[in-house]
Amino acid sequence: MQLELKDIHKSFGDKHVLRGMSFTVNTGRAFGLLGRNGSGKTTTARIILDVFRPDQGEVLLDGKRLESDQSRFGYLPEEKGLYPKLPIVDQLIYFGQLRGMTKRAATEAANHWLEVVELSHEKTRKLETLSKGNQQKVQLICALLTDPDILILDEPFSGLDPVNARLLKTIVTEEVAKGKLVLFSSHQMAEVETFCDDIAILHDGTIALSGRLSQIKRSYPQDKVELRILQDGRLVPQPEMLRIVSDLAPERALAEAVGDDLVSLKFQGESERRPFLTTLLNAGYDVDLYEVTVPSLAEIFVETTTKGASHG
Amino acid sequence: MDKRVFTVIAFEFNNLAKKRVYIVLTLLLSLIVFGIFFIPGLITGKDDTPTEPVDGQKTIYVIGEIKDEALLVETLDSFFPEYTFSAATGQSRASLIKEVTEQGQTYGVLTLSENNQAELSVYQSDMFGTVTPRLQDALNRYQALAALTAAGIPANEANETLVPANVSLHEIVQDLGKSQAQNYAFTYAVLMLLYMAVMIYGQIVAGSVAAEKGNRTMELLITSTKPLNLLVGKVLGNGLAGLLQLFLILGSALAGYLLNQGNMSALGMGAITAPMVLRSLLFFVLAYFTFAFLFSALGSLVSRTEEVNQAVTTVTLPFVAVFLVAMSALFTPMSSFVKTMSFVPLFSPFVMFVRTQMTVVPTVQVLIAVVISLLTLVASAMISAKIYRLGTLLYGNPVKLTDLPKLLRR
Repeated sequence: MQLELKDIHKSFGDKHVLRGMSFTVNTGRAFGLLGRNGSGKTTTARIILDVFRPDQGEVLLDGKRLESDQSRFGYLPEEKGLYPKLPIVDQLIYFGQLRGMTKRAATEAANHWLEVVELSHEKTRKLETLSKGNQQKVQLICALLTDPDILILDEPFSGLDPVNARLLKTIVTEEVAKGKLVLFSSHQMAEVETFCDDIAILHDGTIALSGRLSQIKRSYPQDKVELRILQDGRLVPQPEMLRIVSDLAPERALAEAVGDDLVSLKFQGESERRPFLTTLLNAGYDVDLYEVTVPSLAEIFVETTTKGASHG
Repeated sequence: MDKRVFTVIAFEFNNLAKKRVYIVLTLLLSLIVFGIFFIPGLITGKDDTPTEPVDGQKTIYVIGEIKDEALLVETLDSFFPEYTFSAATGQSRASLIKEVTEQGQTYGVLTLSENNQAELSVYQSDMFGTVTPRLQDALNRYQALAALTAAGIPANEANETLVPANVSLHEIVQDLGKSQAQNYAFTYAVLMLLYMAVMIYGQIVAGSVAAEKGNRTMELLITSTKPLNLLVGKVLGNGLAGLLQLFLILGSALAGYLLNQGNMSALGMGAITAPMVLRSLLFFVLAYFTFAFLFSALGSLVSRTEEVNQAVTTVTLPFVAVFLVAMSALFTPMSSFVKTMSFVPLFSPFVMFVRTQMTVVPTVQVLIAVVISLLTLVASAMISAKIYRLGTLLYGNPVKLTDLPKLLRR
């Protein structure tokens, strides 16, 4: 399956939130829609879910206009909310039924998922008595209950401890493997980085950057390295290293202290990288570390969303 | 709207009907109204049973100007089975009074004098003062009988002539029109119930919509099923729970009424007939749901339950106006103002209801009013669904009503 958003425009009053946004999500790959607070991620989710109609543009599923059939969607909203005063299993069944399941099917699915997320023993408790992480898990079940084709998870990691975050990743990875179309929206870069295959960065109402995450990273110039030097079995302290670098390559490399004995070098071009290593070795230095630094997703994100620059 | 609306109805109904406050309130109110119907019986019941003590007849002595002792005593005895009358001519009034005060056995002294004057001295007067008018009747009868026998008519014939023929007069209104006086209490009660129901359940529905927005359940709801399912389900689910409560209360009222049917005139309440109940039901449901939809729509425009009270004033004020017009119709059901208002949307179900209860309204007019009310109900549901859809995902400041048309057009 392929979900395609084409040239979506949406305004609220005089606030033009989306200005010709387009991206494509494919089955079998976790997709991360990234953006700063208020960039329009939730609006995009709501447009896909047919809560909002776009002012312009269309949402296509396998090339056809998307019908508003709620049972095909699983949605985990950013603003988490269920009935605080009702037993969790009751409301899960209710939401299953609202999405078109029979009561029996909804009950079975609810019990199954409560088992999976280890909440079976809490199922008759009121939602408000559960911890925030457990409430989040109930919310996730709500999204998975109908075995939907398309999963939209808005900030799924917020409020989860590392153990629960891993549980969530396992569940979602399984869903992706089952051939579900999974769309994340998040501003937690670390989680997205370890998890999503494809990303799109939403900025100023359009997709400023999109594609396969590994390729995006590759596309950035490989002109930065981290350097550590050994001398007589000891690590050379960082001020000493800065002096060595400026002695050997005053023009070609910009050195910057990173730690007590770690220095980051930025070359004028990728081609400068190897010759400098040769220079270092020829000068008789024992190079302990010389590693190309790939920009982290966070860095790419900050660069993309603060400068408004488009890249890749 | 599709069949999932029933899921919402069942869910909302259960949520409200299983609340402890709902159950307790229903039981309490049912008991109270059941009890109310016993009150008239308790008060007026005393009238039927004589208050006289049963231990022995009390004597009333008669003295003064008596023409026909036997006739007088006979006549008085026939009017007062609970007393024994005894002519005591020759004895002084003072000594008899003394006897009355000393012995509890003697009840009083009746002194007749010239010019049809009479005076009753009693030891203790009865609570309801029924003796005096009966005594007056008895003495009048005696005078008439005495006059007739003096004119040569045999005593028994004279007596037969004078005994009232007991002509009974019943007001029969069903065929010719309606008794405003009899239906007044019933209509008033239904109007008050309707007022309370709209106010209470309207607030509950509006509050429940706002709560779903407040705890952000709305986002999931609105992405799970159509807004119309949610709105209609919510209004009907809560509405039915409200109606169930009312019917339980009315049911116990009916039980109380049936058990005390004889004493109801004291409440200004005539017979409650099936058409009256059916008319009430029809207009009640129309009026109730029309306003319930509007209330729920307004609930969707605020973000928190705290803001609900303020938001619903937009509907409560017109509703109070409607109610006041309906109350005025209760007093002047025939006025042309009331007739006009019975066809005005929103007013129609209330005012036409009062008209049909208090006067005879041509069937065509009733049907027109029902159609108008139905259309108003549908329009109210549709407008509310639009506002609801708009309001559900609107957070921040409550929407000003003046901005609403602009927002709806967008």
